[in-house]
Amino acid sequence: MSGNALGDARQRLAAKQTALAAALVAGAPTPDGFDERRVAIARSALLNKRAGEVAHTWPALAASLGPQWRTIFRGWAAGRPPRGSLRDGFDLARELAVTRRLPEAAVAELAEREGHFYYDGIRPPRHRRWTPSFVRTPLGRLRVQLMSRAMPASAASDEVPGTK
Amino acid sequence: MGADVLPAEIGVGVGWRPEIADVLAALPSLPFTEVIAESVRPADPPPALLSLVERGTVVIPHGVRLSLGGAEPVATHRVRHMAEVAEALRAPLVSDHIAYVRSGGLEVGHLTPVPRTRETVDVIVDNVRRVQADLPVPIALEPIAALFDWPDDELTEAQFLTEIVERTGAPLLLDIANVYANAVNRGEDPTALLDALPLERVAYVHVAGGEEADGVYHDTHTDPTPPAVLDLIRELCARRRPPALMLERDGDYPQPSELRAELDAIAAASGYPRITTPA
Amino acid sequence: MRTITADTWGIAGPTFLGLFAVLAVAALLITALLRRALAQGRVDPRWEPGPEELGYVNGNALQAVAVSLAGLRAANAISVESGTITVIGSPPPAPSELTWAVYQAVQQRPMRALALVKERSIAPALQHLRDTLVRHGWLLSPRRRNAMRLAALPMFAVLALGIARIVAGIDAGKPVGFVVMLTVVVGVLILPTLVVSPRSRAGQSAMARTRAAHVRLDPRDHASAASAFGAGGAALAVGLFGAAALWSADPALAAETDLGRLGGSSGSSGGDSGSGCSGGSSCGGGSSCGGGGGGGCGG
Repeated sequence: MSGNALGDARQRLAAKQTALAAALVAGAPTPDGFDERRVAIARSALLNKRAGEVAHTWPALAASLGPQWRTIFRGWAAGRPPRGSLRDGFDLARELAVTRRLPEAAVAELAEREGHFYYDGIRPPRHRRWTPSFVRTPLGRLRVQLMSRAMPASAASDEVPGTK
Repeated sequence: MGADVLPAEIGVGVGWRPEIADVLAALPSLPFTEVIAESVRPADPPPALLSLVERGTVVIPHGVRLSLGGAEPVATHRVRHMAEVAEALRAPLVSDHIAYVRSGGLEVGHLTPVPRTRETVDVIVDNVRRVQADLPVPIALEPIAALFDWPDDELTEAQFLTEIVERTGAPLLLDIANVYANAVNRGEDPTALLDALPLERVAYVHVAGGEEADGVYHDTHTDPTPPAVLDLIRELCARRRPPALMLERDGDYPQPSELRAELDAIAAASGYPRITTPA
Repeated sequence: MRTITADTWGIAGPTFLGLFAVLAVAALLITALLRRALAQGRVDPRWEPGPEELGYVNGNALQAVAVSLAGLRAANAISVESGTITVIGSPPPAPSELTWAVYQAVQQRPMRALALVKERSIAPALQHLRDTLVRHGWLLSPRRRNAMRLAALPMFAVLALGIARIVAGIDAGKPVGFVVMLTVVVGVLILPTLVVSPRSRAGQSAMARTRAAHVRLDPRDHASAASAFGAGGAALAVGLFGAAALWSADPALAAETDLGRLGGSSGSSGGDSGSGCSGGSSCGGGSSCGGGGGGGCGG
């Protein structure tokens, strides 16, 4: 087979694989011809698997939300492409912190991570190599406090799920 | 190149995971194991794993992220990592899957099936050949369990796999639980697939548990091996017994006694000696 | 008010100057030796960089992308018109990760070379290139480069001492001309230490060897001509010799894009990304941390 035919084959296969991947993890419609029900099962199984992986990386976050963890994670993650457990947990914890729905134990975990990583929400989190360790945790706590104050009080009136 | 990439008659093994490292270290003998290649730092492999290597256990680095079935070229840094892990563990072989895990900047986070077309075969063969060129040892290819099929499929699973292994010369890593899962999920006879596969190319076999949910068999690796899968091991070994069979467990880790009972069941089904009692 | 006759800090001017010069020379030596040792590195002899990696070593991301574009042009996959790169044909059969990412980006949206380098979708491929080069000793890790910057601390200490003496001397109404001169010399000598090359010394000599091995691709060699390169050769030439090679290998690409003016080698290399968990389950993809019932493993 000639080189160009292989290049074309790659190009066609890439388009198809991206369409299916988008349907599985990015909320795109299932491509034509697939068994809709089976793809939905796969999509759901992927969310559960991801919830387990994020819980492994963010144990306090998952444990403090208790039985609601999986529902909350699935609701948040559906249609959001996975960006790795560390980042997924970061994004979710920050979102919950801003709306003051983050349980106390998870606030401490987030504060600790905020202190250890520099993460702007756009690029992958990076270790704060040059921050002395005694500065890290207070720094993280400060960031989390600023974050949850950024929200008007009315939006923060939701009950904390973990304390119900 | 086929089953001869490993010594003959190695026997029964179990996949090495940090959570069950103690149980594995306590086994009187462990001829064979596998480690997730991406979890090993080649400069600093887990000491428990190195001591198994010292004991003479065959350790296979098993990849889950090469995306050999992807349209995108396989990332060379991943292949390089695999090569370094193989060297660090003195592995005679590595393995990964015929599946894709990422495309167009999206990480699916799971082994996703590929369309079984001639065009896909061409792409996979090219991917595998380039990986082979960069690896110091052969790479065995493992078909996956698919919850769904592509509408584009032109080839049967057996035709698809046979063509890939014949054109690349790569050995097969057969997951007997996947054979069972795919047959159940497609409403086919699992032994028919065994008959159609090039069993002489099987380097080793994965055994795992699963559960039926939503009318679909999920290959979970967190449940005990069902009797039907043990029966399929008997069918396979009656046709051609692979050099090694290995239990995979990935979570909900059972009590050591339960794990040993499962290993004994696999030994009984395959006719290999038990590894839970001193020889 | 101090008395006019007392020496500043109780050290006479000429004594201080002598001492200061000795300290400056010692600091210079320490900094130079530390930097040299830190920059040495060790190149993995079993690993050979490809054209894009060589481009990255020579001129960072832009030159690596130039290598990919030269390869894609040679394969008739792209064309350039008034600076904008457009897909016109199939991707090459065996692209590298970066070449594939570049092709996909341009396929999505025709763009200029400088925009392409900043394109988010090619960032992971560039990061992998950088990581690979660090891992095999051609480039220095960000950590190592920071250490090299810190190696200049003795020089800064001497500079601070000189400034303190000048301030104290002026305060006491003493002549400070010679101290100022010596301090300026120290300040000037510090300047080169602010620049930290991303390349290791071992990487630089490996690069010199690689260039020597491919001397026929050198654009300064009169015998070389566009026709002499071939498809793979053009990319390799651009990787090794940069813009000059691009002008001989693909004059149109060089003229139409900003790549024809790409300079020598400078720039930054970013930090590495944090990774999630390192547990090992065989449930593929993801960050491979087990758990989460209900999901299938399939591997």
